[in-house]
Amino acid sequence: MILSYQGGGSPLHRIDPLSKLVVLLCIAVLAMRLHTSAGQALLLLAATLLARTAGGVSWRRQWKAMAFLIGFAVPYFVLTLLTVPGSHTIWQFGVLHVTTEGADAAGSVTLRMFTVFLSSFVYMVTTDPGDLVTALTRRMKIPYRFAFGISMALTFLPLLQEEGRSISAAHQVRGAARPKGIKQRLGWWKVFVSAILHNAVRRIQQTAGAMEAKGFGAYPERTFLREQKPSAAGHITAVGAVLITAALWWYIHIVNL
Amino acid sequence: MQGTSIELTELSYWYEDVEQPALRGVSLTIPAGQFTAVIGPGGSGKSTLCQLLSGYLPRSGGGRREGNVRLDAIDPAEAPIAEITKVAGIVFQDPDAQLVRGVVEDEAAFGPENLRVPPAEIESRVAEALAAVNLTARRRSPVRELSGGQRQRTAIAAVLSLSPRMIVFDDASASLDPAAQAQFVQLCRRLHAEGRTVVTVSGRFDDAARAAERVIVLDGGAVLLDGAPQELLRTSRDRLAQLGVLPPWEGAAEAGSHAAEPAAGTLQSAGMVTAPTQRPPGADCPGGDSGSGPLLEVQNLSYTYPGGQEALRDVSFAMHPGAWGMLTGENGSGKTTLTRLLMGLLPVPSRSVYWKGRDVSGMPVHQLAGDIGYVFQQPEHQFVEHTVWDELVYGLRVRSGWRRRQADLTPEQTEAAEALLAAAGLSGRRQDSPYLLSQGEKKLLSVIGQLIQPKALYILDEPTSGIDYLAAQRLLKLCRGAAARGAALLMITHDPRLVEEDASFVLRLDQGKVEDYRQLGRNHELMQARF
Repeated sequence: MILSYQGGGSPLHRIDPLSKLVVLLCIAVLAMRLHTSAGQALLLLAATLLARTAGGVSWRRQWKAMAFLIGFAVPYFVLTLLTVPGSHTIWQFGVLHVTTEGADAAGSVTLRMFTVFLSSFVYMVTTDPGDLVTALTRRMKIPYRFAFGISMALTFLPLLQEEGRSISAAHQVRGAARPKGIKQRLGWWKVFVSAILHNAVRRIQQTAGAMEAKGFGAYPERTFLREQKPSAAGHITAVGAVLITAALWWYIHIVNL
Repeated sequence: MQGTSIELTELSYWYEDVEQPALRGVSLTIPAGQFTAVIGPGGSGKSTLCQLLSGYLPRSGGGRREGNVRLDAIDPAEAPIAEITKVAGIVFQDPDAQLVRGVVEDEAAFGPENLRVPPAEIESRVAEALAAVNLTARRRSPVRELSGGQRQRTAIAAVLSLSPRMIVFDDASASLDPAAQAQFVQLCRRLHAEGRTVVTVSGRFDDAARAAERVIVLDGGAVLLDGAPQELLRTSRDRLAQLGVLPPWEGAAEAGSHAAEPAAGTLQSAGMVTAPTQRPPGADCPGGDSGSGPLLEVQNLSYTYPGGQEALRDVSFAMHPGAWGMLTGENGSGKTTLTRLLMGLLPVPSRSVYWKGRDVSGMPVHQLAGDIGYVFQQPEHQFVEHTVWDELVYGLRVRSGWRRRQADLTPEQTEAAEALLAAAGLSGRRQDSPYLLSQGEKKLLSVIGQLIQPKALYILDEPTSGIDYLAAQRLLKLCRGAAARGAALLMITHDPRLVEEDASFVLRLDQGKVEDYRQLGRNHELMQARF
């Protein structure tokens, strides 16, 4: 499963969820601050290296995760490329024209999408949802029902993925081949998506019922079997990330990156 | 422990938009600390009763309840959640519908955490609950990496750790292997000895029922029999056999004999069956005739899941036309992994699995599905349509494309589908949702949904688990029909005694390796007589 937590012993696995959340927010802040393609490319490169070395996420897995975005990113890139005004035209066809400024803006927004998605993906695969719930409830004093809501939301994408796989298997073992042609494809997607949503809703209802049967929501607070204590490494990482972000913010302002 | 644990007074229940009540005026009392078994055939109201005890019906599931339900004097339909959870814990048949956290330890800790139990005590409860279901070694395992039986044991542990005064097991042992079932009975005895009220619910007069102090038999939503197990077995054996809660070898020799078999002529005329060709005389190979080429050949198949968990190691066997294989082994021994590989539902290593001499590695599932029918362990995983009829004929509609219209069914196909529906006892349910069927009916629908298409091999994952013997006999009769038409069958089962008369070989797995692979003698004579 691509989007669910995978246990491991990497440095990012060992850091507590809140310290890691600080790093994630720092990356998001930098992604918003940078406004050139070159700067965004450097940030994406840094994020991929971090994912590989600190999170133990293989190149192949990173690619598979980012491939999800291509369907959204390419049209967004083209649209930005053709609509952002600029003074240095590099290609023109009738009313369509591409400028250096437009190319830079398109590259920047597209790379930003990949950076934010990749860093969130690495957070999801290296963070045990249970640890996140505990950290949000115990340290940030967020009501546990809300914290579990966040945890369940994190598991919703894997749930859809699992349902999709299960429904696809059910069709295939009955002999259903991949649809051909636009009409068949549209028909297939209509059935497939409605079945996934139908089953996902059924699963959510089941889960809600099962949680209630085990006393979820019975009291305003609850206890936790284990709690991942924030380590010195987590503190250092979070503080380091904030300092680096502040320094880069200043540097970006100076060099106009 | 004294007093009354469960008190039902004139209890009736109607599901929404259903005219007939699922329970009809049930009145009974179960004293605190009693070990009771509630048994009955599919559709007798057992699961409805459990859901009424848990409060899910009618509180969340809707419908209409009449009469009273009291659990230690509280009404589960109205009492606060905390009160119900302390009084009663209920384990249902489908583990996937009960597991909420994703890791074995977290599942067992979830309930006590909600009830504000101190962490030190949660730790001891979790350790005890996992030890009771023999899952200590899998404590940190993700639930999705467990087998069906192991997931069911996790669901049991999650309720045990709540330490309720009363525990209801709704067919919770159905997907357990024989060793785990024996352990389950020991667990019930131990809970009973601790003074807890224990209620087991099953479609069969199983070992838990025999170990209970009292057995209540439901039929048609009402109490039919009520007494000590030995007394019921002595005085009402024939009646129990007729209901299908006793196995054929215990007095129900003719059980299921009236389950109509689809007429072979009808199916053949519809072009849905292959005419019997070469019959397996049986020889040296446990998987059938060694004289002809095998349909399926597995050579030193090993498989490790992406997380690193080794599921199969060096598995080899072969199946010839007409062979009937019984695939057995403990929960987690690799049975389902093996069959999913054979069907191409998991990536098959190259040069490991051959279908009619061709390496199936990389072969798409829909292509294999032209020759192999696959029935999932959980019938719900197979359902793709919204009515029983559409579900049954789905395979016919996709044969010449991904999906065809109802009008495309030929009169012969419609006739054959009707025959199968009648053989499965589902003629009256054709417009119902597959999800609203009883467990036995769901299993039968999932099987006929495959049998409606002619295949050379049918793979069935635990088709008889969790269903009464009448439904099991009906299902086996349908399988015999397929075998008589020349198909091979590979059946995962924890009910070897039900299947062994028909099986031609047994393949037993232990921790992913072949422990036993041998021919069964009975089938030899059977085949000779048949062909």
